[in-house]
Amino acid sequence: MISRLLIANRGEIAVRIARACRELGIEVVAVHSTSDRDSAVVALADEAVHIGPAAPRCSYLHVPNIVEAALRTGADAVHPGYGFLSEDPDFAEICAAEGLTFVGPPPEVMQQMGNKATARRLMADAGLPLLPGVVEPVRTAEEGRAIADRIGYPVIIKAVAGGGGRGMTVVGRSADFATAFASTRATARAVFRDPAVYVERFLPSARHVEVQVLCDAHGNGVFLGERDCSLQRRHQKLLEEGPAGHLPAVQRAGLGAMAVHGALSVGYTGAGTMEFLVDAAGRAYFMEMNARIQVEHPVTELLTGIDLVREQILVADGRRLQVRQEDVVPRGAAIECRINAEDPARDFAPAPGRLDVLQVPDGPWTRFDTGYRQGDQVSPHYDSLLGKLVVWAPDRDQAIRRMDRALAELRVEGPGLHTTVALHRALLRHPDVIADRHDVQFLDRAMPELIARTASLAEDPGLAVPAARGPLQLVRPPTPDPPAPVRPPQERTSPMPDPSFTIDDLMDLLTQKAGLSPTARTTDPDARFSDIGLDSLAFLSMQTELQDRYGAEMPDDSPDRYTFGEIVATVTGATDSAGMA
Amino acid sequence: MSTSSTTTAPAPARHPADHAGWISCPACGWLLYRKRLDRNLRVCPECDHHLRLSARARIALLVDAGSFTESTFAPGPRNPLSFADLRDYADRLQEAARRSGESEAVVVGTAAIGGTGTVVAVMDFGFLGGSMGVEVGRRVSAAADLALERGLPLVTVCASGGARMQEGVFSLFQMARTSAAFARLREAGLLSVCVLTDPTYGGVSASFATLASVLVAERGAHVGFAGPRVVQETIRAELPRDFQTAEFLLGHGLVDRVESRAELRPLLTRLLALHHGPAPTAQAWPAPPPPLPTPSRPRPDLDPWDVVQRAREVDRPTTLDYLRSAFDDFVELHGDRAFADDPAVVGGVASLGGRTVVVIGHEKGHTVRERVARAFGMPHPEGYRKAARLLGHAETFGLPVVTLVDTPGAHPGPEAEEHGQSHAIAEIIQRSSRLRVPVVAVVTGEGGSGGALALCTSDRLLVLENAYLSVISPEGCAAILWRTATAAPTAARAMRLGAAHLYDAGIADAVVPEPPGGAHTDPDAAAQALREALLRQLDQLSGLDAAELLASRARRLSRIGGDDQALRAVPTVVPWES
Repeated sequence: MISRLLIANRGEIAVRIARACRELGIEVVAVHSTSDRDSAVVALADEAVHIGPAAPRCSYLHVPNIVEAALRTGADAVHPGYGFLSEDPDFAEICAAEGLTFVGPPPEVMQQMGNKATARRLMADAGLPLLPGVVEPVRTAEEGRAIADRIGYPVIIKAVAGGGGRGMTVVGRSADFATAFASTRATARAVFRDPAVYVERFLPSARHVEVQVLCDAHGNGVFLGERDCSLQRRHQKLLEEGPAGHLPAVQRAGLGAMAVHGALSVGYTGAGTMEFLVDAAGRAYFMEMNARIQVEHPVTELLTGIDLVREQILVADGRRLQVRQEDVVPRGAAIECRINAEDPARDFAPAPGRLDVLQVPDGPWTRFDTGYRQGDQVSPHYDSLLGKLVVWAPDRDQAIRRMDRALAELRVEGPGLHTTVALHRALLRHPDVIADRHDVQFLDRAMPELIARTASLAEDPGLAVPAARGPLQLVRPPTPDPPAPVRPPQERTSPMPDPSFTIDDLMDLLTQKAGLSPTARTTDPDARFSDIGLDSLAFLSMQTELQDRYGAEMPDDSPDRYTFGEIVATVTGATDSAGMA
Repeated sequence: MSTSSTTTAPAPARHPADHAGWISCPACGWLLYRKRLDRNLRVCPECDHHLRLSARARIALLVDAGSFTESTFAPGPRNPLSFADLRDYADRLQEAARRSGESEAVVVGTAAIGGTGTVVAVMDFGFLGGSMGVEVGRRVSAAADLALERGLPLVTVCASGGARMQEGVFSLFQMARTSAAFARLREAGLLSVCVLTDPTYGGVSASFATLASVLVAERGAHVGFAGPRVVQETIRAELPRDFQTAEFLLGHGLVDRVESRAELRPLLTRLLALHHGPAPTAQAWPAPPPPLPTPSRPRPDLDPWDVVQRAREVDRPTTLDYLRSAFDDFVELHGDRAFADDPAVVGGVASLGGRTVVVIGHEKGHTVRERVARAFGMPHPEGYRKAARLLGHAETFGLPVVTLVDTPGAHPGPEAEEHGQSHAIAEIIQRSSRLRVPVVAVVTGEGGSGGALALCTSDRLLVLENAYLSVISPEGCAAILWRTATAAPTAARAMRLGAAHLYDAGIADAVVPEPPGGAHTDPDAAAQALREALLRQLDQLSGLDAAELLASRARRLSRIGGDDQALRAVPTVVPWES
């Protein structure tokens, strides 16, 4: 039985997982980097552990600290969310070795699905249709050209280790193959440190359709309908919806059954997604499997009423699936818009900053998943996803109108902050999107037009219904409040100065918060962390405490840099200056 | 001091977090999951530090799976001095054998790398710091002899602190023994490649380790004669951060290449295939293309000044462009093995229509940054010495040479003079005039004076349509004779710059056609034309033996500037028949 779960992630998905845990009665351990110390999930969690500086490689990707945090806090399970370590088989394996339940598929399966060539071979073995092409890496340009000539142009050269739209090149004719092959390999080597590439047929006007599957460890699996994610910019999804209404219901059911069969054939457990490309004639080809919860999972949740994260945790805990295929009845239509802190006008450059205003839309069947609150800082260290706006309606037309209404209600403001809100509104007004006849290249084609449209929408962010004569006032208008950041009340007291802070106080603090054994206490001001057997994790715990209690912290997160005397001096020094100010 | 090693490998500092599953990177301290580190060939994914490998791990990394057969050696006398320090040397040997699992600091055998059979000798730093005593010397020499006996190439992986102190002067003489063995290999035309790994020092680096035909240093490896501590204590100076690293060696022209661990096997595969691959067969390679329909005579209507400007066009394909587009494979070899790697001259081993050739050429680069870095294609003496060394490589392995000429001239500057520019140019002209393999020179762009002629002494001279050879730049000529550089176009015409004159004067054997408007308008077509011209010339020359080549090359040089008759018409002695 999972009773305490560590969330090895941040942002909206960390909050999402924490909520599912709360509802299941599971205690939540959050981990956070220095820059996320005041994030929403930290406030939600039963316990929070500072695992390192802002750079992900030192915190959310740093396995030793995360595993140590889980062990120290007595967590018995780890949920990796998406991104970061979610598809790292080593991490899954290490968790298992340390006795932690990993919420995800077994490491071997994750390894297989993570290698696209292996995944495609296994799925081909399971009878899933693949695009004409090769499954194994292509070694030389001549070999690749021979394959391309055989399967017919246009072809796409893709990095085996690729993703995120990088390391792929479309080739239109045989003569261009060698150059494209060399440059794709060079990119793959530079970006993914693996030059291996493969070649497959490129479908010029295809749709991206993915099936959500859920499997338990007892060989049962169901599919939870599909999502259409064809609105992608350079292979980055921007807007997802369900169901894939352009496909007949019987074909969608066929695709779902195929996806479950494929997942079960490799021993997959947990929530996963099978991605397909569907060509203009409606033929589906397996692309890859994502062995994790996905960003766009709420689309499926709204369509089916099934809490995916909850189910994911339960099957990880060894439970049998309670959902049978016949219980899964997708209803209506759902749309998700990814609200990113990016500036579409500047080629989607990240535009982070402080969220002076964050007003979340509300109303019927309107959901906003975010890890940010008004007043928070959007950090440049992490992905630019501010939140996900998801709506449900009985049909697609209503869902589009509801989404547009909700987007108009959403207010995100701050210095230097730009978002994709207006772009989404422009997108939902485009005739091809309204008619559901766009394909995966649509966004890249239509982007200039959409950006132009976005500019005019951004100038008038309000609703399309103007108040013609101004507001009617029956009473004196209240004086407007300054836009002070609104924060949920914190349990902690605010930092209090303590000029009398001594090394004994520091030892007390370390005993309480960093697991310092009473026998290892020292009074030597020249001693350091290593002298009393404490490590960097203990140091980070101390940092958090010093910040919370005294408003002080050491400038560097490295424990070996400071003697205890220096730490005490910093606390009292900081207190002095605070007292004078 | 410098030729000896400490008796034991320095015990690696054990990080408290070290346990079965995790290892701390010795360079950056990052905690690494051991399995991931192993998958990454024991290269730290955080800082790219290449952790040391045992000899067995090296062999597994480099050779085709299952192809390694170890050579066994009868035990020899092991303790010639009956040496004992704090412990008996015999004890130390036993301990080293137990800890490393090897009987000595080098493992020898035969294997295949990318399908090419080869002898391998791999040192193990874990055995007494890879130090070279009598047995290591014997095994390394035996590896060379085995290669000689079987006609195979030799790949050596070095990791050594130097000569072994416990065997005294006997160790020292292993330097001579192994060096001689490598010389026999070279005389027999068999390729030897040394992979220099961290660390290679002292008596090993000053003998066979740096005597192979191709030297490849693994990224970050420290290689040198005297260890940095010895150097620092002796001269008491601050050493540069990268002192004696692989990258430092490359910058100083001392190794041919620096490769990351993952790139070593692919590189060895290519090198072995280029030097010892299966001989090309008619089936494996397309027949040489039919003669070009385009006449190899120049278009007479080209204005010399237009030719000069097209030859200098920034986008005109350079040697490296042609190596990528006109040749099938190319492994660049860097450095003059003495002082520097001149980026204005590039060279290496290439494959062209199934034939392996040595290619040397001037390199200008295209962007401003590249052009500055490559000194606009103006070589220093180090560039010519690199070229001369590569000519030697070609002769050793019987490979034809192709030179691509495109330079404003040799670098004019005080350093170039200090380092002997004149002699370096003279030397390479002389070397190429007597080289015992075919040489085809192609003027691809500017042919500025002696700096260009250095690569023009050949059996065949080809010239691209918009290329020229000149005794001085048209601007220089105009400034001297017309007293203004603005007369350069007039000077260019007066000097008859261009392919037409070279062809008519009998200096160029053929003109390589360019796309209309110049090579830069369609680099691929230009490369194709060059490729076909080269294949034709190499085909013609391949039938000639060394004596015929040398004789015809000498005749060719005497003919230039007036035929033999004209020269004979000015006799210094009265011919007896008259």
